[in-house]
Amino acid sequence: MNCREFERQLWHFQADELPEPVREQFRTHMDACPGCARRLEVEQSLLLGLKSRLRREPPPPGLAARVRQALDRQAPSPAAVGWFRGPALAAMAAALLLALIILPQALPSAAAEIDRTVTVVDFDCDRKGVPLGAQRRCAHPAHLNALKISGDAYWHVSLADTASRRIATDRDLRGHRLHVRGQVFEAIGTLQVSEFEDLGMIRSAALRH
Amino acid sequence: MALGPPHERKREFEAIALEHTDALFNLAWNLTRNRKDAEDLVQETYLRAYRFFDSFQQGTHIKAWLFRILRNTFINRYRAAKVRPDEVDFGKIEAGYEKVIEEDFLRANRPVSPERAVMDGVLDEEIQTAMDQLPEEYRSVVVMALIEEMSYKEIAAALSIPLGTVMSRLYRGRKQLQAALMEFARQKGILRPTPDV
Repeated sequence: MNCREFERQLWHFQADELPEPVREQFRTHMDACPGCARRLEVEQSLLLGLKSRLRREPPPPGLAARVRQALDRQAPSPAAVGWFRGPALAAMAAALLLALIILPQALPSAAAEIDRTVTVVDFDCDRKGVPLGAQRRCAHPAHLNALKISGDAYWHVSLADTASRRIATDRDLRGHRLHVRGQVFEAIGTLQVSEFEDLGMIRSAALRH
Repeated sequence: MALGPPHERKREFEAIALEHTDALFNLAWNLTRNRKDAEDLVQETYLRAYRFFDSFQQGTHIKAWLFRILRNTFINRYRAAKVRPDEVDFGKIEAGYEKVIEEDFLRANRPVSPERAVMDGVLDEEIQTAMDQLPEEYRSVVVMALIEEMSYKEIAAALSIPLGTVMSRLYRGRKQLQAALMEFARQKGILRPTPDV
């Protein structure tokens, strides 16, 4: 190996991208050529200096969690496990579902398209004035979620499809604001959800009301 | 309740892809130089990657695949829209920094080597400025090689370029980076100025 070849391959040597026989030639040449040995010393010092100073820019806290949420919004998960949380709940939900299936007129034909933000609550607890924080802890098997529109106005959620079933049964959604789109059947106060976006938990202060 | 294939697919994607969030953010930041833009770029990258997860070949480097998506997204969406710091061509002086070092080494009576004095004397901000001034194609390779410690092969896969192009871009990128640092060092008096020819 001559000095020109040494210089040509110097950075590949540093990157550990050379096969061992060539690396051996490098070492032999350095033993014989102080100029090239000094050249490697300079480049090694600069490379190590750069590597130690070029640090990763730390990401903002919670970035991975926000990425997960973005993926969830793009690909909603199937109905929550809570749907089968207890035999009484399952029986009740099954009855409602059965009613919707065997009664073709279960959902009145007159419906209006809606697109708005609502709050998910435990219907029975909310009617009794139980705070949202306590509603999230309520595990009563017969309690289903409803969508609170205003002070004493609610929409029940149709159990006819996956998205709606999740909203109706997932206890973890209580206290969340949802932006929902779907069809509301005013006569029976029921919303059939076509899509929704979880806007997150309502502000903690509100949970104390 | 049985989980359908889409749910399993998402869990699989998250399990193998999300561990590279920090590395992706670092490259995004080096490209955009704005933390908010970098976060948006990372999110968009993951959404695109998930959408095209079926096209990812199992057993290959997912990090390189994610880096490729991020860089392509940056080129298509951000580079056209954003004002970037001026990229500087240090080509005229990059070939000479070795000579500067050696002349300084011979002339000066230093307790430390001139290259060590340069690295000790430049500030982190100056190193980042030097990085910002690299042309984007060199900067990407430098980030992947020196910070992410990816091999030439992984970098070639990430950028969809031949191995030889990786080597030449790394060579040029490092040369320019080191030349820029010499320039900072000279301005600060750490190295003696090169005599006029």
